[in-house]
Amino acid sequence: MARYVTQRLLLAALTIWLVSIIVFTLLRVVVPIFYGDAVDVIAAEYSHSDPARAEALREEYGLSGNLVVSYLEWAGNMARGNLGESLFNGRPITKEMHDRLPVSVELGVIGLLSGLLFSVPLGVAAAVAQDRWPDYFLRTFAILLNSLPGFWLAILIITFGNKWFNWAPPLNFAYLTEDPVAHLKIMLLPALLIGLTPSAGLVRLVRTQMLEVLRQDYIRTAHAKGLSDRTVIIRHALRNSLIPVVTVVGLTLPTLIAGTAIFESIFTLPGMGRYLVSSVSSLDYPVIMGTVFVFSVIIVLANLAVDLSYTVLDPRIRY
Amino acid sequence: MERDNYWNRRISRRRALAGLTAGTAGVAALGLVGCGGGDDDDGGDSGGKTIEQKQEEVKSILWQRTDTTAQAVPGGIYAGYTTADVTNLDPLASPSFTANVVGSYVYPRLTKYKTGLRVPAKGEVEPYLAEKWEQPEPTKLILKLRPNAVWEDKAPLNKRPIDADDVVFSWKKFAALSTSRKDLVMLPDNPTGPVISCEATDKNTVVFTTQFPYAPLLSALAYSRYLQIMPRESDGGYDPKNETRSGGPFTLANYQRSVKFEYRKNPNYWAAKDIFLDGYDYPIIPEYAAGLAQFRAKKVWQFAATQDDVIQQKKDFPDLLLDQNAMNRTDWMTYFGLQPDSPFRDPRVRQAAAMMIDRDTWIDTFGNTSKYKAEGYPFEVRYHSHISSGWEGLWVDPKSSEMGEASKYFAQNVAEAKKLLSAAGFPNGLETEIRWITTGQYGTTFPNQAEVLKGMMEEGGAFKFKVVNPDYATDYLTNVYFGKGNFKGVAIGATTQFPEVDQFLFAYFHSQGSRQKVAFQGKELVDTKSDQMIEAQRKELDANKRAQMIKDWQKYAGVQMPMVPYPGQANTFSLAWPWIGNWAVNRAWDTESDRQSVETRLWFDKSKFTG
Repeated sequence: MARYVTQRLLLAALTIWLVSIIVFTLLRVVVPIFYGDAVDVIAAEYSHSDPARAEALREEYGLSGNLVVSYLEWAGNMARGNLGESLFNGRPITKEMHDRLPVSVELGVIGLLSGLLFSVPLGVAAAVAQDRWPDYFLRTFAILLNSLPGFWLAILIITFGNKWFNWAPPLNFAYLTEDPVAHLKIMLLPALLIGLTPSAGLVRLVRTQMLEVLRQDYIRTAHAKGLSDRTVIIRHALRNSLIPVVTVVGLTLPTLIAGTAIFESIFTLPGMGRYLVSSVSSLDYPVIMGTVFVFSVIIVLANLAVDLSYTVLDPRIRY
Repeated sequence: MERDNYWNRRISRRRALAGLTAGTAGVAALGLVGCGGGDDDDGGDSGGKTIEQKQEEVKSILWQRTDTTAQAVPGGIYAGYTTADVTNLDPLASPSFTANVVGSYVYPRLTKYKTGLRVPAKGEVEPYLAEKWEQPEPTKLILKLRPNAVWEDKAPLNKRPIDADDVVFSWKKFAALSTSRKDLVMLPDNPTGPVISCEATDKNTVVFTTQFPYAPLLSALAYSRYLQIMPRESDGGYDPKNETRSGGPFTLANYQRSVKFEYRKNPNYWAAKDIFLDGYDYPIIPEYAAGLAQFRAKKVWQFAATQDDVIQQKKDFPDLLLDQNAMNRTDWMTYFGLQPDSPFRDPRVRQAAAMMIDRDTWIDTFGNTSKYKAEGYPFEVRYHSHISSGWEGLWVDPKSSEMGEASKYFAQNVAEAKKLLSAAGFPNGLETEIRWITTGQYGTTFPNQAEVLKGMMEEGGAFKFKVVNPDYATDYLTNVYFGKGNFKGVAIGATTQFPEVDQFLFAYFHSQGSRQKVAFQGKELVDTKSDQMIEAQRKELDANKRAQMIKDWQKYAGVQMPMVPYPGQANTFSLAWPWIGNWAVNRAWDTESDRQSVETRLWFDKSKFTG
């Protein structure tokens, strides 16, 4: 077990290192070749093709140095937890992340938890009622939900919530530590909406896994022993059907955290998504590299956690 | 009714375009909010009333811009909103104009525009930080600073007087770092820039020297995108990218990145006693539907509703104030690639393109005029010449006899256009490329506007276009907008709205202009006569003579048709809740540049507050 964990940790470190090279190469080499760099964007939009000012900016932003040296500097800083500074406002990226990452993580976690609370019972219900109308209804509902983008639902809720109830989402964001009630008021709806679309897929996954498990011999044995349906389903079937669900959930969480930009815009939340999107539009490469790198680390760690969680969920699994 | 077929086709297109637009999140919701009004071309529920009756009704509900300054009660925080965050807070060194928007609240300028009291402003200039000025010779401007201006009571300034050294510091910073520097500053790589230097002769006096008599200098000094006056301590004494030190009417009391701006009255501002409100709160709401919901819930006091939405909002909330906006001074363009083999080097081809445009239909489609007309809303329709029809006193109406020979090129005449094309060597029409961006930089309606223009030019096979949608930052701006004609075919795009017409003319129509699209690479196809006319007007200090020179240039450009101006515009309407005292009473010349004159006069009328 210890060897397995060590191997996985080393592999995770190697993956993160490779990610750092890919991120750096894409943003500092590939993007400038095809699209230009941050200064090209500034020069084109605001500087009236002013070569002197563009060159000065390039110097100021550290875009004219040796690439290998730049990478080593950047990677070294990353390793020390220093993600650098924004090109345009000079604010430390670590500080921005400190303020913003909790918002995105909270959105993702609440979204996922609410999605699980919604999808697991419905998936079980659909499996138990296989090929009867509750199953048909739940499957249709899941497909419908899966095909509706969450941000579109958000717009509908805001629009009709306002039209019918004169309601509008709260405007003043407060951190959890400052005002928990105000914080939850502004966070709850977007978090629930974020979890809605992935939960539709989970309903179908839980149903499929449950159906597979319900056909196993040990389930028949459990029934033969005289256990109640409820006990068989919850104790024996559900737990064993959750392993692939945990995999999907583990991999969905970082995607949810990284994909909150639209919801952050609609609900005026200061999360990572808006930070990343605004930096992409201005090619603020230290911010892009820093945030993409952090998201990559989160995804790698989530994968690691999923792998390790198997041993807890299924004691038969040994490494 | 001869136009019915054509008209109906356009309305169908309009519906199709609305459907396209509904694909975007924000606008999708608009359609839903406005669904009560339907999409009827007659403007929805007629209620059995005649147009005349409706006109009378609308007259009675139009905001009369009542000046309530005498009843104004100090206090209250204005609940506004903004759609975008800023790149940083340094207006003289930021790569983005967004910093100038914040700066317009906190940093003063030497002059300011005079607002119109209940009537549109005229662009006249009045004292601001400079309390007076004189021009001893045509190329020298001496400005005296007011002695009672001080910086914010915050370290390291601590109410230090604002002096001439601050102005010179700001000018040097502007000349070195501002992205707008080429509009004003004479530099080795910008020899046509008008201002040579800015020097302090004593603590309260600055002298601007220009290389030629530059008529719009005072106006340029009032523009918030140019010379905002910053303290010299911003160079090392504090971080101007992330902090501000106010010398203007408001302080930036709280800025939460991505979340909100909170401005508060600056008690040390020399005219602080004239500011009614305690401050302004601007949460950042980028989504239109979310903003509209906040407005309808009365959490936002004024909202820039799209013209499609105005009628329905007023019906839903009859208490809303409804104000008719003045004509705007924006004139976007269809412009041409001028490479050596370009057919658009021939003026007849450009004239033909101009004659393909059905301006009335286009204005109706995008100005919502049919619905406004059906509802009895008053509006005027104007065609743009090569300057916007919002330039009162300078604009020549293409439909009037004043436009002379050029007038015919602003009237749709497909048959004549095809004759011109035929004479230019394209009897079977001209096949080429057309470019516009489809991302949101010019607003969500722009791609639809461009598509309709393309459709009009293609009518009857006059032009056949292959559409190219370039990436905004990396392709459109670099290769097309700033390409100086070095692209193939036709392009449609926005232009900057300057507060002085000279800046627009020089930037876009002079062969050496920073955004020019009329002379290939600034060297070939130089229209010397046009260049001379533009140069002459900027040097003319007599306002009337200068206005005539600008009119003469429009008539000349109307014939040469170096670009095809956007079709035109109709009046638009704004909405606000009635507890904003003095709303729309003081009319800005340039909204961003006039905070000190408009935002200081608004007040919170608690007696009308129902939020």
